[in-house]
Amino acid sequence: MNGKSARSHSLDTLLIPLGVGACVLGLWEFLVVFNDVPEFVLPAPSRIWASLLQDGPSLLGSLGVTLKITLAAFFLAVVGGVGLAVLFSQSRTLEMALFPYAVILQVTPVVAIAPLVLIWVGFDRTQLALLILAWIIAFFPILSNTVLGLRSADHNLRDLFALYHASRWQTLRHLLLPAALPHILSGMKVSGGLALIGAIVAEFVAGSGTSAGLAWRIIEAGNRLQIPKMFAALVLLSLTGILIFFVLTVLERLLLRRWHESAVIREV
Amino acid sequence: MSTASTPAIVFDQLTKSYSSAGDAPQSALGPLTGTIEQGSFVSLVGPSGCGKSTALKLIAGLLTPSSGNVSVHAKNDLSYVFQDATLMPWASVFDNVYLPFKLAGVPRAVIEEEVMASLDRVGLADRAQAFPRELSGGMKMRVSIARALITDPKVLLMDEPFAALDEFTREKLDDELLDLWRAQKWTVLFVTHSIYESVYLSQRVMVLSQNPGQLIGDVQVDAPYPRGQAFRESTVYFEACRAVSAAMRGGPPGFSSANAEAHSR
Repeated sequence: MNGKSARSHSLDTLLIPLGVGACVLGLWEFLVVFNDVPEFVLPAPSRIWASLLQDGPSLLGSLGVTLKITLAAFFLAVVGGVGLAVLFSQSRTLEMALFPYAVILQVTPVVAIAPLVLIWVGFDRTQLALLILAWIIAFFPILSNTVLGLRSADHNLRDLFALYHASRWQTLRHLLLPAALPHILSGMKVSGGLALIGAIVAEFVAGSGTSAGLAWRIIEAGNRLQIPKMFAALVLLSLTGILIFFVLTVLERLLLRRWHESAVIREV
Repeated sequence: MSTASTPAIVFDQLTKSYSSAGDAPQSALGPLTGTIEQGSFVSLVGPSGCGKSTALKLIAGLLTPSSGNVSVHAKNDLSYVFQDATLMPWASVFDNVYLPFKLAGVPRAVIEEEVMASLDRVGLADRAQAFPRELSGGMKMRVSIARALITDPKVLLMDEPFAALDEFTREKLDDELLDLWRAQKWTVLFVTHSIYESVYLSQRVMVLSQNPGQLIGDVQVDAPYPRGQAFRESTVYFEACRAVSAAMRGGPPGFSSANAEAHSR
């Protein structure tokens, strides 16, 4: 009986939001058709779907470009964020010296520094500028979460490691990093979405005719009043964001399921 | 104690004070002077904040004394059991017990049998692949003890190891610990705030005062092992509990009976 209620519960978590989505789409379709809303103001869902089918292949190509920047920025954010946090954990002085600048980098709106970055790397290397900007946005959550995570190791366990004469490296490898893992993963979940947002926002600001990402296609479609195509691009973006979040959530479950409370599926 | 026995731990005017920024240093322990004989089971009892844990950490070398010193015979053959089981939640029971050797660079295959033997001693050989969160509080504590024993220590420092457990489990683990101690004869320094537990377990109970911790009572419990339920109902047990309790309240020094004696220092 318990198993059944658990299963129907997980079915509910899928069906309820889907039901809400279907209702909203239906209402949207109805209102657009009933009120005869012009396509360039608000296209009906059916029209967006048609556009998705028609422009899909070319949009997917642009999505590929954006995705490449997103994933590269995310990867570098993980490497840089975790790496810097580990350095901070080894040297309090280094942390004091550098952490404020990481914060400054974080609180400065990326839109404001985008033109500068573009000038520095050269207008012919837009992709690199986008990568740097997406990285700046994605990097901080991982850094701050990892710094917190590395400090969260149990004090008695630290004493125990000291008692058994663990080296710095052993303490880091077998105590601090495993203890930080849940924090690192939750930082990654935030950061994965931010990398995508960063890649898009940066292209909005720094993109030009040579730019090939999805953001540029949205600008293009907007300029030509191809509103259904804009919506189609937005749908692709949302789906990509959801996919990134989903993949990272699965990764988190897999890595933590045997030991961390957050990932334990409880029998209700 | 016979004069032939050798000291395992010697306190010599040992003190520890903590200073937080801006405040005058707070004295937490001492001055403490005394000797703990090799192979004996000694309890350290006192109210919370009496520096019991501080004393253990000083012995283990996790803290440095503010003045005086503590010397430990066989400093490297020393194990520590914390109040919480202090297991790595991300590692299996096996890996938790293997930890001391892993840190010493001993390959897993070499030591596997000993890890299993150590788990067997605490009755958990069949749970080697389980993770800590899958175990009860008592089982986690047993793993912690298995980890402490695997290095074959000469001195075992225990910091309120069973305080978080229910009464039933605690008495069971007390008996298991005594069985292991009688077989191995390490020196045990057992910190607790329970008078009953200290008397039941130990040959000798050292009583500390509060803020700073100073020795205000030293009670011998002259009863043979194994001690069972009968001991809990005996006069020796009762008198020893009274002596410890009197010492803690700052009662008359030298309070004693035929089998239990207390003297203040």
